[in-house]
Amino acid sequence: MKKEEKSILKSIYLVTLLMFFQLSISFGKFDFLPIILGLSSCILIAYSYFIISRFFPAGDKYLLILSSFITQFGLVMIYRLNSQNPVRAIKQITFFTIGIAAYIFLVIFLPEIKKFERLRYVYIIITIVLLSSTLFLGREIKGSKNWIQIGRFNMQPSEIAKLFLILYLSSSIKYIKNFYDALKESIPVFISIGLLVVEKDLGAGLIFFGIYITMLYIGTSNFKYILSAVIIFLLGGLASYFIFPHVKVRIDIWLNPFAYKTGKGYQICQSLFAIAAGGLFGTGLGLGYPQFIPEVHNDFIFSAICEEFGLLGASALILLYILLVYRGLRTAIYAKDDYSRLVAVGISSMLAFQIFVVIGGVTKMIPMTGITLPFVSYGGSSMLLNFICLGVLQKISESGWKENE
Amino acid sequence: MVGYFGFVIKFIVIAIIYVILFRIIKIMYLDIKGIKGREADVGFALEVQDAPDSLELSKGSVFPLHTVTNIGRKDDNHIIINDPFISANHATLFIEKGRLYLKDLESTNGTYLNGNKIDDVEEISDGDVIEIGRIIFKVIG
Repeated sequence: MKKEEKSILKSIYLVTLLMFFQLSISFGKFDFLPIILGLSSCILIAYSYFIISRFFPAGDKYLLILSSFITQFGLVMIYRLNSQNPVRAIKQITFFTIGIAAYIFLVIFLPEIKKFERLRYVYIIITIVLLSSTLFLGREIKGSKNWIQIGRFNMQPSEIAKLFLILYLSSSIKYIKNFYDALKESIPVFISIGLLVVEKDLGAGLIFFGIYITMLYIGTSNFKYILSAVIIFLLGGLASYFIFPHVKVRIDIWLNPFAYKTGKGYQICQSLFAIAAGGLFGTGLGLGYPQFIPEVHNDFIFSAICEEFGLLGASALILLYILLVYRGLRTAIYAKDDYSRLVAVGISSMLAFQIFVVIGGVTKMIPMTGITLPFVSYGGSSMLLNFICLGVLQKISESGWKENE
Repeated sequence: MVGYFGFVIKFIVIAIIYVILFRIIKIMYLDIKGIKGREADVGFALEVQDAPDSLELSKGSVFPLHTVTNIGRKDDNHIIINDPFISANHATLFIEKGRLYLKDLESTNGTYLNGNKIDDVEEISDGDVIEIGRIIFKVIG
């Protein structure tokens, strides 16, 4: 098995270096920076794989292999989109390094996940404080009031709040015995989603709801709770469509983007054009025009990948995500206690919903909401949080049942 | 020139990405298959109900059954019983699609299932009694 993993990793290094090499020659002159970026991320992957397989061989190595491969797509694309001024690519690789460091740190130092079970009210208080902090301290960036500035860094508290929500739900779901309990434990979740809607962070609200409903179903396996949660959500969505103008705008753009193509719908229209321009095999790295999409390095990076890697490349990326989520759920199956099982389910469902909401948004399957694609989009706090979640998963998989037990 | 080169690299990159994907999926497929195989493995076992004292087979000892389990006197069997009443390759038990089958390998003294001599493959289940030579096994599952 170990030999297999190493040879897969070698192919990943090869493809990473090939992509960066292509970038270094595709803008007229030979550029050394992409080669350096490629080499350093390969070294980083090799180092982290070495640590995990040498000192923690019991855990699931594919979590690391898949996520670091997915990260390479993002790095390549972010460099390609700002090749004249590669500050963003350097920042992104810095956060990739910090993320890997946090991941290894958690695998080494995190105690058994079960010990965190007792603090359930602490988690939900932290979640609500984080979410409401942006109302008072927040800065409005691009129409959403969901950023906090600390020194020179901007961060999104809702990213961190997701993890605390998962911890809260995992510890509180076992107290649900009847409908009244379910309602009682759900009120904080609905308060958080309401706060997100007020802050105009609809994507995060959708993800919170997705995590909540998945964990509720897996924890209680009672379809009635799910049905009532969906009904409450639909009523709330309908009400917010009429109360908040920004929700209405998003829906209107989704229904007919070309009616607003010079104004509010410009971004989604350009994204659709870019995806169409890619075709089956894509235009090739550095040969397309993804820079026509506003904010392409952030939420719309998937359209850029569609344009330059084509349908095949983009579906490969989606397949990689599916495998990553599958690995997370597999961790849940092998986990030793219910608490770590629910945490693993929550993290996997968080990744899955985030991917669905972003990719669905840029391809106009669901209304566009501004959130980041895990491991790919430019953004420090999202990268860091995703690797922290992965570290927790790795820890659970390491202390779970082994295959030969 | 550079554009042409980029055009070629594009296909190579996509091809390698799919090779990686294929290999990862293959490993995960084997993993899923392995889980099922293990479940089948631990499903059945043979318990010794009665055996002569000279054979060093204590009553109540349990042999877990694998996908194929051979019983006989020779060293290449899974369950080796050094008894003159047992043939070199006496009988075999195998699991197929979660069901357990017993087959006699044309042994001299025969294999008995619930008291009846078998001449070909028989399906067996929990509680059945197998008699091989002077030893009586009970199937547990």
